[in-house]
This record gives sequence, structure tokens and C-alpha cells, in this order.
Amino acid sequence: MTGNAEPLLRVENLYTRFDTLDGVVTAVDGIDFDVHAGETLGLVGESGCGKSVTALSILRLLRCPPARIEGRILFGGRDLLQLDADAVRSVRGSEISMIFQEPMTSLNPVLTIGEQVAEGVRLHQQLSRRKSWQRAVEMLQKVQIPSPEARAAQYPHKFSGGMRQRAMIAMALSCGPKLILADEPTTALDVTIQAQIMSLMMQLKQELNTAIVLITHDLGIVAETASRVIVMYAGQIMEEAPVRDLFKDPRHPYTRGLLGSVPVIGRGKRPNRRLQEIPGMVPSPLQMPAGCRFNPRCPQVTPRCCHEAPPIVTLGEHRRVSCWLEAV
Amino acid sequence: MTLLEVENLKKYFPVQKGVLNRTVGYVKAVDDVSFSLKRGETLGLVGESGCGKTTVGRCLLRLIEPTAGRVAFNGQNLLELDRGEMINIRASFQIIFQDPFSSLNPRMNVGDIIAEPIRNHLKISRAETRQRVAHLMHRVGLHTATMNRYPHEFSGGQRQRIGIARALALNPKVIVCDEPVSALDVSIQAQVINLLAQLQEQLDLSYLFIAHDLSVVEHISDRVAVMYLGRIVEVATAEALYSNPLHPYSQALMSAVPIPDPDLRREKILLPGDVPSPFNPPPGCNFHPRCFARQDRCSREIPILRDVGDGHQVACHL
Repeated sequence: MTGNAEPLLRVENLYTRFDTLDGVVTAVDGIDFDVHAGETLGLVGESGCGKSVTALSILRLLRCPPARIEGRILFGGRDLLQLDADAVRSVRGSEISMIFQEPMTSLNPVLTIGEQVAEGVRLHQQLSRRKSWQRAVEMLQKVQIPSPEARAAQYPHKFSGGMRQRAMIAMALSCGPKLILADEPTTALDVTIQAQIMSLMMQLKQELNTAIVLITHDLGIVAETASRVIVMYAGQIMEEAPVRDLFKDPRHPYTRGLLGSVPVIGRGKRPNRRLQEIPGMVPSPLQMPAGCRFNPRCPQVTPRCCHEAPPIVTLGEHRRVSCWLEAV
Repeated sequence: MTLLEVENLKKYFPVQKGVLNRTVGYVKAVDDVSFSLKRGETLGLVGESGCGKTTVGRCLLRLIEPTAGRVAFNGQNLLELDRGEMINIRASFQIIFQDPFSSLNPRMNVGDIIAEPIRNHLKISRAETRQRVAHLMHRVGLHTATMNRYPHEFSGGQRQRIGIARALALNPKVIVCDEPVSALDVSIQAQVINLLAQLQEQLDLSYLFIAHDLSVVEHISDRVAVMYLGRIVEVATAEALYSNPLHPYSQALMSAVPIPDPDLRREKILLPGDVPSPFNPPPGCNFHPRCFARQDRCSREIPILRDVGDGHQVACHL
């Protein structure tokens, strides 16, 4: 489990707001969490819950303005939010790297795959062009791309979706980062390719002892790979728990709703074919409900939930939940 | 009672090259596909991107003209009908599209979108049409007060409900659902799946449910057909396909689906490589280069879909 060691990454009171023509959108609304060395932390939630913005805020990949990031992001004794642009650049890609969802749009179409993988190594480790190219070929081999020398000289359009995502992983791992932020790394892929990529990522993670923050909406992937899970809704953390506890004993009504609404393969013939649904829809970020953000959709709503934000209740050492039902 | 019978459906897209647009070959998007759909039944059609499942759905409605085959609906071969007859048939044969953002005309309000098929097919008064639209909106869980709004004012789940209401407007018997929930978030997905199941019960509809998400397909379907590179490799009841998949591809596909249960540790069958190009498919069984159980004959002979008992069909030499 997590242990008591100093966390690798500590996010404290993170707020990310965007100034828009319609008003201020608070995409991430005061979240705290730790990531420990070598662990896989799952960050789950539906579209618009702020999970991707959290990752982009950590690496400061958001254009400011319109974005405003507040809080503290502690990594290796420094607050990433206080660093200047050059210092952030030296962290990005070398100590923390990112894998994006869409391997088609996140690769540069006019550079060869080899050049793109080599770029990070060349800049961060000051290797010569030739050495960094060799390193790129080694990395492509590591992610099991067949005939890596020939493939390195090709452009992204020659690669299939699965191969592109492998190249992205090679790029992310090329400088031996301590932390990888993987934002929906397999969402654009077919299931059999997804299984290949997830198994590769987990194998390399073990080998290199890298921590992964796995951002996804797929609860199945989280159950199979993460050791800890954070559930987000409307910019806030609803629940955090070790993976087994979350799936076996979900405490937040939203977590229960999410788990109930996914069909599970092999759950047998359903005489009652209905899935449990969460009524209504995610609130607009411009008109967040008062009190608990989940209250308009919550089956166990109480009058208090509608005007007072729930406290964060700690349950045991590793669990917390933001719900009035758990507050005694 | 069999409502729809598809036999040897083929769709070959010509590939043209050069200044003279000479045809240099064909992409066999759908190659010899046969299946049937009973009244009130849901047949799931699964497979990965590019396997031809969407093309099958569109060929049935002749939104894409099939190259060959037979599509019998109530005993009538749709592929022999002329344009006018086909338009009439489409009243009982509808489709729901994947992307609720691009399948609704942004310049039409919701009332007009849902009323369009009614106006085209039925000669009824404005007031009656309006009443019918209101009834349909109510049926799919939309507020009738929103009738004058435009698609951009609705969320993804609501837009999909609009698409469903439009498909129901002419009391169809068969609805082709082409990835109806894959663009939606899980909580909204559950709402739409439940709605489709409920409508099926109330209106005695038959669905051809095309999707890549096996968990969704298994949940909603009575029987499931698995496609790979333009061919059906296995057809079975949803239970049989899950508990006893016979084709190596179905086995790999089933094992690759992530299950939200951390205590379950399954052996995954990892298939090597990618799906080959349909322009130049491998000879024999087109799955053989990735198959873990292949034999010599797999690279020479095309396996035929055969019945192995209880309506469980599989196309494999083993």
C-alpha cells in the first residue's frame, strides 16, 4: 500500500479557473491528493469533472490566461506553480511526463517518430543527435514496435492507432520519469489493442518503478490496474479509497451510482434488464448547485445537502469521502 | 417469427487510382454476411473498428447500396425494390446514429426534426402531427416544452433521445442502432440503454444493436454476432458467447474486456499485431495471422459459418 514515506507528488488546495465570456468556470475546485512513488493512482469521473484539467494543471500545460491555477503542487521539494517557465520545462518530460488520449493529434505529423522520441532525450539529457536517435530506437524496441530502426524513420501517418500509442509511451518513458500522467491512454483504441497497451504500460511501469496517474472514465481499467482510486465529480473529489474498498464498499452515492450504471459482462441473464441510472445530468460549470454538487442527482439527498457543502470525512487511514451521510 | 433475413450480403468498395480512376482492387467491407432477426429480438453486432459492422447496418437500409446479397424483410427482398417502394419500407425500418451531435440538423428545431418523417410519410393535419410529436417526446423522456428549441441547446443524452423519438415517429418494426451510446458518459449511457429496453418491451421492436462495447452488447442483446474484417465469425446467445466463446477471436475479445471487479484476475489473451488492411486481407481465414490456435489449413481455406448446436454458429476450422 502507500506507506508513510514522503509522497512523490502532493497536490494541495488546487483550484483551476477559466475566465470565459459567460463568467468564471471553476474546472478544478479545491482538490488535495498525494501520489506515492511507484504506485498507480486511478482518477475517474465523467466528462467535464476536471480530471484532465487536473493533469494539465500539474504540468502547467494550460495557457494562463484564460486559466488561473492556484494552490500548491509539490514535487521533489519544489512547488511547480512557483517555478519559472524554464524550470517547468526541465521537469516536463524528464521527471513528469504525459501520455495523451488521442495519439493522432498529439504527435507532430511532419516529424518522424524517431525525431519526436529523440527530442526529449536530446534536450533533457544533452545527448548528441546521433546518441539520442539511438536511444529513441532502443525505446521503440522496448515498447515492442517491430523493426524499430526502420519504424523510427517513418512519419506518424504510417502507424496504426495502437502503434502510435506505443510511440507515445516510448516518448513518455524516454527520460526515465518518476511520474507519468496518462490521460485516457486507451480510450481511442479497440479492446484487443487496449489490452496490449495496458499490459505493456504496466510491465514497463514495474520495470522502471514509475508512478502512474491513470485518468480514465473506464471503471474496468481502473479495477484491473490501479492500487488507489480517486472519484471526481464537477471539479471536486467525492471519494478516495484503495481500489478493492472502492469497488466492494463504495461510500459515496455517486460512486455507487457509477458502479451501478455500467453493464458488466458475464453478470448472467438479467430477468430484470434495467441498469441502475443516475437521474439528470452533470451540472453546468457556470451554474453549480449550492451545497453538495451531487445533490440534484443524489438518491439519498437530505435537506442539509442542498445548502451546505459536505465535509471531507476520513474513514480509516486511506479512505476519505465527501458526503453528509458519512459525517457523524 | 423471423422478421429480417440477411443472406450473403456483400459490399465491396472499389479502390481507384491514377488519372483514369482505374479500379485497382476492392475493399471487402462486408463479405458474405448472413443472419436473421426475429420479432422483438435484439441482435448485437460487435467487432472492432473497421470490421464492417456499420456498413452492414447501412446496407440493410440501403443507405449504402450493397454489392450483392439478399435482405428479406417480411418475405420481401429489399434489394429489388425501386426507390419509391424503398422509401415506403423505411417507415417500418429506422436507424439511430452514433453521434447525436452530427446526426441532427442544427437549423431545425426539435419539433420539426421529430415531425419530419411524419410529414413525409403520413397525410395528417398540423395539429395531429404536433400532438404526435408531443407524445413521442414524452415517450422518450423529453419535456414537450422544449419542442421549439434547437439541438445545440440539448446535452448529448437528450440529443440521443431526440434521435430515438425521430426513429420511433412512424411506428417502425426494426431499428438499427448504430453505436447509440458510445458517445455518452456512463451515467447517461445507462439512461439511454434502459430507455431502449423499455421501448422494445412496450412497442415490440426488433433491434440490430451495433456497438464495439461488449459489456453493453451483452447486456442488451438476446443473441450476438461477432464480426472480424467483414465476416461474421461467431453467432450465439449472449450467455453462450460469454460463457463458452468458440472462435479464438471471440475468446480474445471477451478476455480483453476490462471488468470492474478488482478481485477478478483473469488471464488475458493478448493478440499480437493489428487488424490487417481490408484492402489486402490475408488468405484463408482472415484471422489466422493473429490466431493463437492456427493450423496449416487456416491459411488456405476460408472457414464457413456452421451450426454447432442450439443455434450457436462459428466460422473456424477447429
